[in-house]
Amino acid sequence: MAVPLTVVEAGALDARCRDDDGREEVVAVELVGPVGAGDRVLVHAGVALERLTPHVAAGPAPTQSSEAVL
Amino acid sequence: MRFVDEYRDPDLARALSAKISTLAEPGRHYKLMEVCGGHTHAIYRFGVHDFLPETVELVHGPGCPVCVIPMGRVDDGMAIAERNPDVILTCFGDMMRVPGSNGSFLDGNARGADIRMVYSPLDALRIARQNPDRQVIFYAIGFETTAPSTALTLVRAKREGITNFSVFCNHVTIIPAIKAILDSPDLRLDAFVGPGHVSTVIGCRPYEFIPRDHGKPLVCAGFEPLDVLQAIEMIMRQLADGRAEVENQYARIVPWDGNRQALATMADVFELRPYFEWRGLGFISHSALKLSQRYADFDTELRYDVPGVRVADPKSCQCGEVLKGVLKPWECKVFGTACTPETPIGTCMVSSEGACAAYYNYGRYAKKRLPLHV
Repeated sequence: MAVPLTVVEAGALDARCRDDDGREEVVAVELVGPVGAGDRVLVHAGVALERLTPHVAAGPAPTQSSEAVL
Repeated sequence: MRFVDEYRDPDLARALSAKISTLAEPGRHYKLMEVCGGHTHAIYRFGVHDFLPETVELVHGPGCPVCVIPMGRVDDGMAIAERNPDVILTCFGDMMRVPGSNGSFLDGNARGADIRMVYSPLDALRIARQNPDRQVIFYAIGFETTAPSTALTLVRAKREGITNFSVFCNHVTIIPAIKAILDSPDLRLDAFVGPGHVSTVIGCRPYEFIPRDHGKPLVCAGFEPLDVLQAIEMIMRQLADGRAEVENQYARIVPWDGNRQALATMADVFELRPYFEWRGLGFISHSALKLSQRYADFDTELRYDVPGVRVADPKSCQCGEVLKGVLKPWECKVFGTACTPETPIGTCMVSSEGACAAYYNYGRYAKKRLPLHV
């Protein structure tokens, strides 16, 4: 399974990332292009597979309509 | 928790459940296959099936990476580790417990082999840097979610000129497995819940043959309970409308065209094998990856003598039928008795994404509860 992490400090090849519980790991970011602090990336086996766009990372606000939430 | 709670809202789950019930045609039985082991885990963990009408059946597919590794490939890894004292074999945690005919990698360690668990193939490469007098092998498994990490690791190994690192490649690809399922006479399916994170890499286009050639919908789905329920609702809506399309419920993560950089890296590092044995599905042509000629120096199978003996599953094990969705986990003769997560006989009981382990850990309790049909 892949998990979304937040970039804390970015380098050219790797970035230090943090999960929602505060745990940090170094992630290879070569496959998703340049990232910056605050970006959200989807990570599997130590490698970022996708850079979440700000809109996607923030997600729509929950409403009573499932289509709107998801 | 942000990004989690909103996808686990019970009121929205009940609303989706009611929509699914409304869309179900009276008297019709629906069989939907969730291809990905992550979905199987989520379905049992969150009790998603409790929110479905009895006529909507979820069939578990072959998308658990550990589960589809045949015993012969476990034996191959073990043989390399035990016959070559300078080898450090590395693999993901789940793989350590997969039984081969000569025990698991944990048993190999007990006999003196050096087999280490890693979180990432990049960790294996780090072990190689730290141990220049040893040969470090990464036992690679997984679908297109995991193959990019192996590919990137090999790119780095080549770039750095590391010579004591190689990969024993068991990566498989999801599309041939779906084709094998579609061609199986054992199973009549109405639609697929498509894998989420595999699709992050390959995108949605590779699934377009399913509605075009087989007339069945596929909806790529996320892994929270509302993701799965909404994907099922989208499938049921297609079936009710008489449509068959590829749709993307997981658009917040999955780009329609996938990750082009990851695909390009994989194309550089890997090439398709002519055929590969899958546990339960047998030999499937062009369904697995091996290292390309450009990376032949890093190919464990070219560096070492690999037994390559085909080993039949234990007679009592019915993982093959479970992986094809023909049997439910609890219908296996040894489920929960001789075969448990502590003492697995088959691979489906090893990984948390295996249908048997997921059902053992969560589903058997849910079965005792009253059904929650809305």
